[in-house]
Amino acid sequence: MSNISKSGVDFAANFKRAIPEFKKIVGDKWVVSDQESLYAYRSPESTVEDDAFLPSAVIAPGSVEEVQAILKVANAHKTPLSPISTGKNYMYGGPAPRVKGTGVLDLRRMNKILEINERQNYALLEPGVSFLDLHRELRRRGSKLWVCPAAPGWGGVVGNALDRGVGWTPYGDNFGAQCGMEVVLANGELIRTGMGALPGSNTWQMFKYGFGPYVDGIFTQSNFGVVTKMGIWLMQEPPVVKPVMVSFENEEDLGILVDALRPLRVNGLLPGALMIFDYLSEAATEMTRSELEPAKGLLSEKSVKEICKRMDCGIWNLYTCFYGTQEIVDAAYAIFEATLKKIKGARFFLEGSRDDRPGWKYRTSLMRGQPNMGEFTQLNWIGSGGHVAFAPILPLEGEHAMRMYHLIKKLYNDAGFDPVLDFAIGGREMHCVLMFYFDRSNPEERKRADAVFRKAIFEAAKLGYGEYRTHLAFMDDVASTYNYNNAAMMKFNETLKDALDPNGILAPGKSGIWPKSMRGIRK
Amino acid sequence: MMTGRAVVGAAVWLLASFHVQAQQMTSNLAELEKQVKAQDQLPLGHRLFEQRCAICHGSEPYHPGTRVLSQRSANGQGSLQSRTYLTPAVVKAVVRNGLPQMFPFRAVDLSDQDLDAIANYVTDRSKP
Repeated sequence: MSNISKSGVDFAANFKRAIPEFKKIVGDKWVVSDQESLYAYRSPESTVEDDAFLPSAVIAPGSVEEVQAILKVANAHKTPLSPISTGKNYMYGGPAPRVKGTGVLDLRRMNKILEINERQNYALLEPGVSFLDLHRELRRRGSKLWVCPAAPGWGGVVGNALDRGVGWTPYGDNFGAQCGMEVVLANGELIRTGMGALPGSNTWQMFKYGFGPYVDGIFTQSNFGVVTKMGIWLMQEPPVVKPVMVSFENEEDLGILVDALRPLRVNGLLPGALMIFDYLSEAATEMTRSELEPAKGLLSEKSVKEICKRMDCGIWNLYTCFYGTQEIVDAAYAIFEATLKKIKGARFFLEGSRDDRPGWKYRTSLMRGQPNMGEFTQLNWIGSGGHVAFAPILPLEGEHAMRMYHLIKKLYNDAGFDPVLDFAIGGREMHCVLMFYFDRSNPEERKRADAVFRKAIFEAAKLGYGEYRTHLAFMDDVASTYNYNNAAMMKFNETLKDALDPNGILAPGKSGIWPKSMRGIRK
Repeated sequence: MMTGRAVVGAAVWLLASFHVQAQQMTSNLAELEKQVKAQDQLPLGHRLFEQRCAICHGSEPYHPGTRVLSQRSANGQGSLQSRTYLTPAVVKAVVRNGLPQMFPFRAVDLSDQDLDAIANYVTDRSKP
């Protein structure tokens, strides 16, 4: 092993000593240290080189006891390990560790569905369970419960919730639907949060808060522990499911649409996913950019019109879904339709009108709890494997939507890219998600993509828009924008880190949180 | 006996009902349950293909793998299972190492034995 991490520390020697002990715990088969196999743990879509985040070793435990034993060895030999669940969300880094040369704790083997409760509508899962795994098991049991999938169906239910990802049903705040967790701390101690801290509790997956401080959140987007079990609330299939897409003709309609939706959302009329896709998000499900214009650069107005015509879509396209009894769906839909019809040019598409469109098909399947990989058709837009997501949070207000849209358009157009954009509406905010596709095989373009992404982080932050999640390569940059009161929040995180993980063996650098021994390398 | 106007009214109501129903999704949970259980009965390689590969390499237009392959192949043939020139070694190499838009499957996620079964299934010329 000759990988040298960017920390300046050569973990290779540490892992060399530790690997025989790891093998005694999990067996030879579940310790990976050959270069060829480790290559599968790269971040293959990023703005930097393939080997920028390669691990030195991967250890794959099969039980909580093995996790505890592994962390004991990791502490003894100072071999940092980054836990992954399914490790498949590549636009945020996938299975790769933040620091090259450290290790990965691959939890995919821990893939048991420990409980599905049909009366209280929840499941208790190990971290290696994917949305597809859970969906398949629910269907196998003849259950009426739905998964709340994020767009790539092979993602981990636990991993997605711990990264505070977004799903496509009314349960779409995936961490919001989490209830109770079991965590192995860096020192090997096992805790259960919420009502799970009461032995024999019968409400661990029913009441989130337990007694005393509510700590579940500190194990999200962090490196404070290894989650080995997690409860998740599940939605039951309603009697009626009515998906709809509404298209809007003009750029400025985005602001008007957001202001029209806000009272309906905040007051509870629209509990389902509310996803606004731009015309490029539509195009990317069926076309490649090179079909429209072979030459690189920005798309012409002519191509924009061509897209809208071929895709039968607008500049903006809202997808949502209504759920409930017939009476509820009819009443809610009537109000929704009357509200949006006031926007000139709005066109409504219901079931039966776009069924042959891949975009409609995969999105409406997601909205009824059916995980799939349809979103990955968009990767073919550029087709050379470059994809990271820029995801700031903004108020659910038209003025802010337009400001963010124009900011992104200017920054990315100036750098030579057409942004592929969508907005996922939350409770009172919107996740703006720029699905940034670029030609990764072109070093100059990759470098330009990296530069504009970093610039966008800081330009957005100046206007009060912080990112909710980011790729490994940008974690320090994003963390640095959350610097209120002399970066008091980061100091708080570091205090927790030093107390919980003094040897820094868990995912150093995740979300910009570094152990004491490695703080010197923070950008 | 219904008057002519009542007959027309009833017909309009019936048509409106069907129109409303066509704009809503009916439950397909029973069908999905059948599909999952049917997949469980398939021979190993075929079963694993349906469970692990078909999400991208199935036949629907929103299956990204099929779409990409249809663009990359000379005759527009996107179906992985229909390709006659693949060998198990090629399938395994691509699955383990990945390609642009085909992400690698690590052994912890898909074991060597399971990958062997999938590769043999995909390249089996005798399958229907």
